Amino acid sequence: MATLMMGLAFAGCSDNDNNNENKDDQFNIVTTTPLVDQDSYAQNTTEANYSNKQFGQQAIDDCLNLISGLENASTTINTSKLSEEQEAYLRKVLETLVGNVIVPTYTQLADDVEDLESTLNGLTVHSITQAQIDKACADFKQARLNWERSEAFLMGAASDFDIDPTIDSWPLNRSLLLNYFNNGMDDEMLEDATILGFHALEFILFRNGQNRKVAELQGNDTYTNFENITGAQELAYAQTICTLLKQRCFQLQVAWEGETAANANRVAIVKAANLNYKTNSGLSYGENLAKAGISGSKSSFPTLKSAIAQVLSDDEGSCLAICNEVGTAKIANPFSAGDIAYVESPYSYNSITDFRDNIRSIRNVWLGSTDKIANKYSFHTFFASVKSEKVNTAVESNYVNAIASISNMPAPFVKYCSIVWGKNFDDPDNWDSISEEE
Amino acid sequence: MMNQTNFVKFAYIGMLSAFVLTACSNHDENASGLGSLTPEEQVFGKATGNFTAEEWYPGGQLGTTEKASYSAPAPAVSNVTGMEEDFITGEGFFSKLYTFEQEPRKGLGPAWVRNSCIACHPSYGHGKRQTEYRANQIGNGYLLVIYHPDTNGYITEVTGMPQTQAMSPFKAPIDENQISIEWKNVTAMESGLPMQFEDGEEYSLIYPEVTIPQTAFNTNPKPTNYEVRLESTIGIYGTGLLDALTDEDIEAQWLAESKYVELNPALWDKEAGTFKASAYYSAGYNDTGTFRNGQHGPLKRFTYAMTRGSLQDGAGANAIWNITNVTRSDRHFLYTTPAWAKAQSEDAEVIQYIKEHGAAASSLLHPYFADGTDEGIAARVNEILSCSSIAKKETFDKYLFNGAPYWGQDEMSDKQYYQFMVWHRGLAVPAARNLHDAEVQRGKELFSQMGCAQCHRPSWKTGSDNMWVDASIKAYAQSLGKNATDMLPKYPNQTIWPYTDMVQHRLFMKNDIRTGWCRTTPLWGRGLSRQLTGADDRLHDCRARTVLEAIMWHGYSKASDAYRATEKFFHLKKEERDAIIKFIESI
Repeated sequence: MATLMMGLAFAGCSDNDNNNENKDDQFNIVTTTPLVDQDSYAQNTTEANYSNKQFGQQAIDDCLNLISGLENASTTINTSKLSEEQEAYLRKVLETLVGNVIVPTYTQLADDVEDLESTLNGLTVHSITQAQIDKACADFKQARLNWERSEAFLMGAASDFDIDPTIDSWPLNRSLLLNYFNNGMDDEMLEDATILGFHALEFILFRNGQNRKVAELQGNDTYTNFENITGAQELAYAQTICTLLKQRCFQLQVAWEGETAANANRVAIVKAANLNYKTNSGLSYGENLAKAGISGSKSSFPTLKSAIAQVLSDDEGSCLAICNEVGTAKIANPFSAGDIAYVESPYSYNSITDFRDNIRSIRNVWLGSTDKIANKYSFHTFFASVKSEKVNTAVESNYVNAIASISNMPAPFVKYCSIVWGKNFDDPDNWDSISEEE
Repeated sequence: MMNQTNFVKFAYIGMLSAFVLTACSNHDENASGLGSLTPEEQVFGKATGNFTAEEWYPGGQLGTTEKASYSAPAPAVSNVTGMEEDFITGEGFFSKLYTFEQEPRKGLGPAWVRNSCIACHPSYGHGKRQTEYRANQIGNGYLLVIYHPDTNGYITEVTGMPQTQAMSPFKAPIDENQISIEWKNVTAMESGLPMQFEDGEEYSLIYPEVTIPQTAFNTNPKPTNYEVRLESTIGIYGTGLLDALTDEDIEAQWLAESKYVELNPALWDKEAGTFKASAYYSAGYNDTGTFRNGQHGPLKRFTYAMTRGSLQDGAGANAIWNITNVTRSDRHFLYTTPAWAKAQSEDAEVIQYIKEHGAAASSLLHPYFADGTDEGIAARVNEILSCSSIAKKETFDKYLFNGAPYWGQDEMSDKQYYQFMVWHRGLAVPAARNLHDAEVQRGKELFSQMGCAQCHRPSWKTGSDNMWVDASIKAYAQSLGKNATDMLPKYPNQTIWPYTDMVQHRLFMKNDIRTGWCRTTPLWGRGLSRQLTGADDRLHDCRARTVLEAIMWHGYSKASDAYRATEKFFHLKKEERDAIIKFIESI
């Protein structure tokens, strides 16, 4: 009998082996290959498409579908009576999420901003080259990528320490920046987040979707009202605020990772900047999540399920929250009425890339990895193992669709939003060399 | 390919489970140690112990979100086609920072308290305790309260919510670098309650002492004889539901309590057993509407001092204008004071800077430029910056609305303000948690037995919610040909569980709140604070670091309205104290 069963089982599952299925030692999990997005997408610049609303609507609809998929996944876990094994496994999922996605993403972000700082600090106005500016712009975009890929987990440190409004405020308060250039800078100005962070750096490094020109940075700016401001002033400012941005990115990394021998230098910088990096109860944010619901652990999460709901579907700081933000605010606000004031990255034209990276951050959380391969401890593998493949399909097909349809919106987004509403987009520079897509 | 160990393991499972056979023969299901998911019997939404089914929904069916959230839209929003889009756009005016001139969030200044709402309501919740006052520290939910101790009246040299930020070249009314916040320890309770429970557990209480030297004021004249307190923000969710309580029901609650406790004579006519006229809304820039047959405006019910109402001109509706100084169609005046205007007009640096930078029509300083002479600029600065009431609308319109660089455009459009108010009025209360827990049920029992529920009144029923609506939304409604009262989220006839009596009481704490009168703060949703905001600070100036400390502050003085209940709490066993705290954290 046993032989017969083994034979059947073997036959059945060897077939599944071709689908990359495997068993794990501890939990006997089922590993399957997730649906994933392409690494790159062709840029849509077909002139006729700019007046077609369908592309934007499709991107919004796909985000809404992904929201349903995430809601469904979260509800499925939260309304289930989890066995001890399932609970233990899901705890591993949270640990893996911290160790394999959140900490590496923030570490990479911190590295990127450190690179940008070092590039900016290496610039001397009189000998500056276009290649150096281009390097700074590339560093910026790399940092931006990792920031956007962290927005599915704005929960925890980013939220408790109000890091999002501090480093990603928009629009840039250009007139305040101008006042400060006119009056000289002091430490107090560096507390006002409307002239700090990514979008202030974006203004100094990019204009009209292109890298700044070396001539401008060697001489004076040409932007309206900034004509008396020198490139030297702007670069000095960029150096200063990049250092502040770096401190905040270090804060994110060490707050999630906790203090380690390897990150001691970064902890020291965070401490020196008077920034917190522990929860109210003195835990790292990684511990706080992984120890959810464990009695005496001091985690802010009363139960494992409440932590999972926070990761997947809570109203703020979750996968669902960023998906909602992309679909119903970042895209819909400018797109639904042609109000380009709501376009978040107006200087670099990086919007579509930003939106797409936001959805990829959801994918990363779902797969417990940053390389599109499902970790053996991931939501994907959980649902594959508990025979709920439909939950996986509902999330994965929809993040793939959302990434594809976002990528398929005519680029740059700001031009699309203008033309689709019959408005003149009077940005002076040409459209051919826009720096939108990969 | 499976290795030998896995193969054996798998075969073993196969022998044990017939399910595997089916699974593998179907090729679409697989055995694993994780088994399959089985639905759990849901306790949520069902009557349990001493809780009714309704109590899982503190905001009623129309005002509760089942998510652990301070920021979710209520069903009253989601149920109306298209309203969630306005809610989401409106949220941006709360959660993102304002600028001087950049769309879509412009108009900050000339002086401001904060550059955003989120600055004071971190993660949409309660402000966080601070050790210094920095306007740009997001999470600092403090307003400075500067008043004359002999009259309790606010000083008039600076605005009621004092500003520590200003647009160049103006100098902020208060230099925040000179503000000192010192946290002191209570060494003994004035009431005589020991600072150690009978089982030996100790507690400690701290309170702030705030000082601002006269040199910090950039006003003429400078204030004299004043004290300073801090008032922190509370969460915003559920305020739409409180707005939907009827004036009559709140008045009945005051009347009932008036038999047992002294009520605020500024609002309550003890002899007549009714609210005084001062308890009702009126404002020069808005009509009182046809509300209550046009006799008077809606009852004020928001803020600790119950100074504002309805919600449509409540704390938030007002704050988006005066905290930022972002003007809109019904507020064509500035949140400033003549004493600040005078000081700025007398400041040579201010005049010189405007002379240098204000000539161009595109400059934000152009309205102050006048004829470009020192005298002209000084006179104009004084004239404009003292546009501090609707009576000065004509001057405001001339210089800060019709002229360059504004050219007739409001800083916040009626549509934007409407979207903001959809968001504000549409914020849901988070569902209750753990009501099936025996400890929570015991906590509820004790909470009621000890008399806590007399002021933290558990439940109310909303009226028909035929709300009063302000002029800006009316103007927007008119532009669309719609009825303004139908455009905001509505909460008719909802049974809600806010745990407040909507009455002001006195606790007589050390360095107490200005006047001593403070509206009972709703307890709904507060238990999620640590999880959602990373902090759990409580009471009007965040002096309580835990629920326990908040409770014990209620017993600081024997004169406190809550002294007896606190005394009973003091005598409870540890597990009973814990049960009450768990109850408070669950509702």
